[in-house]
Amino acid sequence: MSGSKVFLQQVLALLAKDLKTEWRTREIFTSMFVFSVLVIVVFNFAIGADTELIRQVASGVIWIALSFASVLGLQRTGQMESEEDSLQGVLLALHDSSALFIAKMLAQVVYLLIVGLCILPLCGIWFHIDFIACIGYIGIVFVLGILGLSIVGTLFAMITLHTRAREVMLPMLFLPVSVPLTIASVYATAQLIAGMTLRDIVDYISLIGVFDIVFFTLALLVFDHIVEE
Amino acid sequence: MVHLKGVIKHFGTITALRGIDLELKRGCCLGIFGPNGAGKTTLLKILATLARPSAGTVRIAGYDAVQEAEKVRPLLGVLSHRTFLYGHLTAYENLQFYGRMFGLKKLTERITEVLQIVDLVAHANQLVRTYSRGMQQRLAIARAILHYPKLLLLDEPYNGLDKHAVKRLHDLIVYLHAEACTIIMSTHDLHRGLDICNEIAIQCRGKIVYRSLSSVTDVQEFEQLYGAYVG
Repeated sequence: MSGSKVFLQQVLALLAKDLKTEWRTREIFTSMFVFSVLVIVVFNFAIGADTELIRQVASGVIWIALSFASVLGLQRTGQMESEEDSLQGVLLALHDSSALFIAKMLAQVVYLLIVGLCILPLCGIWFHIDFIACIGYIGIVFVLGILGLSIVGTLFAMITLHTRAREVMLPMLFLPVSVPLTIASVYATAQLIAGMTLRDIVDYISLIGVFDIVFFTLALLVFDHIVEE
Repeated sequence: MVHLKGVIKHFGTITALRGIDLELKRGCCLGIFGPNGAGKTTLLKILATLARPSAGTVRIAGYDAVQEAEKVRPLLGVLSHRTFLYGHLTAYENLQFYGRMFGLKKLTERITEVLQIVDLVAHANQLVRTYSRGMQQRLAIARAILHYPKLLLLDEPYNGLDKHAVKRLHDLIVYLHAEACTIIMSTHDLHRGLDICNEIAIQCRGKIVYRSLSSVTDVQEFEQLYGAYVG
């Protein structure tokens, strides 16, 4: 079998395993979704009935909810691999450890996209925003932003997997590094909500795209050293 | 098959291995005995390419285990203290996952075959988290031999097994040994180790301090030797 076919087969096997486990337990999705909803509810109460102010901060609330929910998902994913040291079993079967990174990152993308799709209508109702009018453009921002969160998150989740204070270390590393991505995603989403088009937010989209490419390349370069004991 | 020269491993200020030299021919079954903290698990982890030596060379089947780890890994079957299994998957799904990772052909037949070897066919569709510790260990054995490894690394393989499972594992090791599979096993059980392995070694404070053919050593003599080295 050629190297790329083996690589693809291993990515798919890892991804299928993660999604099957999640489908059975629904642990990751439930915690991410409930947490996101709580963040939105708390902000909704904190801001009050000022409709204009709510519209201004809505995109920030959504991306904060997604960033923090991402931490929860990553912690649970890491925990799944460290129970019974399954990560070592996986490493023994891998030809290229990048397959593990890509599979974990894709699984995180799936979880975050589902959470994003679930919280968007709720935000629409609570914040009185018509997302349907700009759903296509918001979809592009969501996919690129969530991809970036998943790339950086997976990278740091693997770095902190064997650290003692994993629950503290992961958000401490992940959240500051993802700040440029979060800011660009918040501004891009806010401008789309305000009625602008994709052409108006091309700078933010470019920034998110560059962030994704840089961190994806970096992750592939260093991942072998990260998973090594 | 296995060639180690001057292998040293440091963990910060602690030295786990202090210059291990070891040669093992294809088809040998080596039992490594030693007290807790002797460095047996570290040695097996280095052989399994799961840890890098701080110094020295490790060659397995002619490949450098550090530089060519991706060529060495498919040759290895590893049974560790932990099972490497996923509790929310069934036994069949766990083996299917590892089989796909190794790119095995005729996977269904092979899974049935290894499940028969460890006597878990009847529990194949049961979630692993509902298994007893002994059943999990037996499934871990099935996982370790699933991809026809040439070198089997067993770290305290009898831990957590009941008498029936111990007998099965014993028979399996004898069978694999007869099939020219090279086996390295760490254990505290002197009697069982001497019975099953054709070569024995004592590891103490990060060094192999004694090595011999098991056929030239009787149990009492070995117990005395072990006591003298380990204290």
